[in-house]
Amino acid sequence: MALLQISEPGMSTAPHEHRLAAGIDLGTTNSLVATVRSGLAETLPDTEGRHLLPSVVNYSGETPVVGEAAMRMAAEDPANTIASVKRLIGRSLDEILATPAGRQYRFAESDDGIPRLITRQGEKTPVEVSADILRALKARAEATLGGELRGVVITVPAYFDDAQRQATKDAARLAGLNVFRLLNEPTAAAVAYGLDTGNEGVIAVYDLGGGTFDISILRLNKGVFEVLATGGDSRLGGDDFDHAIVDWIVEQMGEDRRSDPAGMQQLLAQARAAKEALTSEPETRITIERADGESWSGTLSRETFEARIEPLVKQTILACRRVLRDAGVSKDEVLQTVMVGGSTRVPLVRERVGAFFGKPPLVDIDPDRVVAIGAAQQADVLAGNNPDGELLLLDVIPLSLGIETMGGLTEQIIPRNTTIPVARAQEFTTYKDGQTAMSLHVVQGERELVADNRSLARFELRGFPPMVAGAARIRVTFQVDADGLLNVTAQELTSGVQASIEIKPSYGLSDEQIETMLRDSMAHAQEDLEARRLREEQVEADRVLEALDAALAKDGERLLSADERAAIDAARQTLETARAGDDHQAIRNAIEALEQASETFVARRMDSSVKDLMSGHRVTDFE
Amino acid sequence: MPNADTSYFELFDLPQDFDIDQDRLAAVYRKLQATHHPDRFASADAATRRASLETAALINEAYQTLIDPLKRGFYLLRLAGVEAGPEHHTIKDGEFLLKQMAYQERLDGLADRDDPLAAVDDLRDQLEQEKQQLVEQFKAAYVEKDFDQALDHLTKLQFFGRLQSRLGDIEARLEEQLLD
Repeated sequence: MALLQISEPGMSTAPHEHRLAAGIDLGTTNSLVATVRSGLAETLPDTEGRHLLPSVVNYSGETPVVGEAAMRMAAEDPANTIASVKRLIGRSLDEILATPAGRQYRFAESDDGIPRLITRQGEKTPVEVSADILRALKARAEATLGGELRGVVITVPAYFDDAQRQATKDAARLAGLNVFRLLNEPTAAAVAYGLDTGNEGVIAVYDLGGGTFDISILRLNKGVFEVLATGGDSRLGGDDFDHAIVDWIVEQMGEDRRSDPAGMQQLLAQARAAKEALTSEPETRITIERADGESWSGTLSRETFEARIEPLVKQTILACRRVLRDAGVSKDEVLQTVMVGGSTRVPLVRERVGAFFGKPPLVDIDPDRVVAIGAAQQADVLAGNNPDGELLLLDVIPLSLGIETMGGLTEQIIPRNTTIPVARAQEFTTYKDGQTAMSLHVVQGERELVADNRSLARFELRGFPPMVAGAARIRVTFQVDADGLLNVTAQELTSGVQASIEIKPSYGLSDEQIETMLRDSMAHAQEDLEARRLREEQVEADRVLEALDAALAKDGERLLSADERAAIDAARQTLETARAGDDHQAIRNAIEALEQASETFVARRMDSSVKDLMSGHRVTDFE
Repeated sequence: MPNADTSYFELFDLPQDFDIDQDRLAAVYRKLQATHHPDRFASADAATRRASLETAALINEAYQTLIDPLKRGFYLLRLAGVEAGPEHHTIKDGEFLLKQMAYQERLDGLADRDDPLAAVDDLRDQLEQEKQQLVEQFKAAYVEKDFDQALDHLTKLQFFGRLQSRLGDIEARLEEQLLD
């Protein structure tokens, strides 16, 4: 029931009730959870005072171990210790095997393209590993706040595509988290920066995380954060700096243990330490244990390191150029460059970014925490804790969406950097007499050929009335929501028939697979799947009742006859009764019945709202 | 909320003209999204969230149409009942087509010039001038309700838009090469 609160957003929030919400930075190397308490956003530490949770999960024993403890097990059992799972999420097995990440772990054979890591606790998909990290953060937040989280905002790289975003949401679902919004990391950082400084104007956010690079250009204006353009590389990150050092070590040592998990583990650990040391020192000593037990030592100078990473840093600067062009702003218009991500501590990176933008970048905001802080600030608003708040985030789709047409070409439907939410419609027709179905292949990317873009999914549209070839007018609507996820609907215009849509994601878990995982994980966590379903329906019932009561209070008298009101009240009573019980299907049925009963009321409300809206807007309102 | 009959101009409380107050457009856009954006309804029931998604998408579509002169022009014509698009209108002006070809050749030859980036800037200024002229011609025709003529000017404007886009790509490549 679309009881849209047109002129008074947030009216349905019960006053004085603070809803528990959190922001989660699910990072490649480290993850954090933050929340707003007493008006202040802060990251939450664990019982030992540590704010960062290493994004490492160990499966050596009976149950998953997450964080520092898992890292300690990495040296002993590298094959069962999964790190940087964010580099794997939303990717097919073939894609993973073609990257350095693919060399680190063992994967099971796959006939559906889904990567499954072989661990002592069974096969684990990247979604399940991510869910284990999220569970740990959820537990931390709920223990600290003393209650259940209403919902969370989880950040993703701006350059994450649909598959990676969906997979992140799937992981959250498995972990039992309600996701208010997926938020792009640079936007989150901009929020933290903007709310902290109160500055206005055009800013650039240069976000070099462990596994991804994002560059976003935003305009800040009185609490409105408008992304002008975003760009980056979802396969370039600080981890690549580590791998560059690893490659140097291997060359110097004359021994290559990169394909052996234990060897790689050691190499990476030493490389990471060296990278960090070179931030403040001109050279550092690296010691590696050879396969034969002998020790090897070498000295890496900052110059050598910089020469190795130069091409990578240059790639990021090229991305900066492109995004400025996309944004339609020049370098000089950028007031400030905010650095995000641990790898922005590398001196060469700061130097090059400073040189490009013509001024030193901002480095005094903690690059490790800023994303979680921004996410927490948005989560607070989305939970309804701040009804008069000014915060508004207008983000964009990072990659163009298109469909495959004749000859393997891509026809663009929605160009990159279009503000979301966005809906575009395209009309198609049938080519055979009596055709009742059609298939669309949707891809993401900027290239001409479908083969060079990223396949998103195949949409099978069914149920059109059979007609003469070419007579059907099928309008397909491509809608990208505020999370950056695509939804497709289709309608045959001459008959008005809505098509049924079956989605076949190109890289991803089907709903059934997720359900199965949910059930399995429930067994371990000793929760009841039924209980969760019930809770979900009860929450939805509460929302529906709340919205209805507010609407009735406002317009019930005015817009409804006595009979109509009675019908709605009866349906409402049925829902209330069902809500108090424990049959989730009964609640679902009652919600649908109530929606049907109030259809006319809703329509009348919309009409009268439009009149109010149109008559209420005057020039002076916007000055 | 706006339905199919509300024009984008009405939605933003702007007069239905080609010349618009950019600042007011931006201010109204922010205000509308502040009210209707899905973020305002993150805790609401599913149907409300769906409705807000559609509304916000419509507001974005309207804004993006009005903020771009070319799209705004085509939209005005559509409101006047003139369906517009490359498949609807062919340029018959031989002189114009020759001029387009000359510009294309200049674009192709930019990389070989002595000072390519300066040549890019020169060409950019010229293209901008041409566009401005066409915009003025469009406005004049539109005001006179000579919609066929207006459509013609707008279609020509589209050609220049594509030239500018190509110029941008060429400039990007040149800059990247010079960085090496």
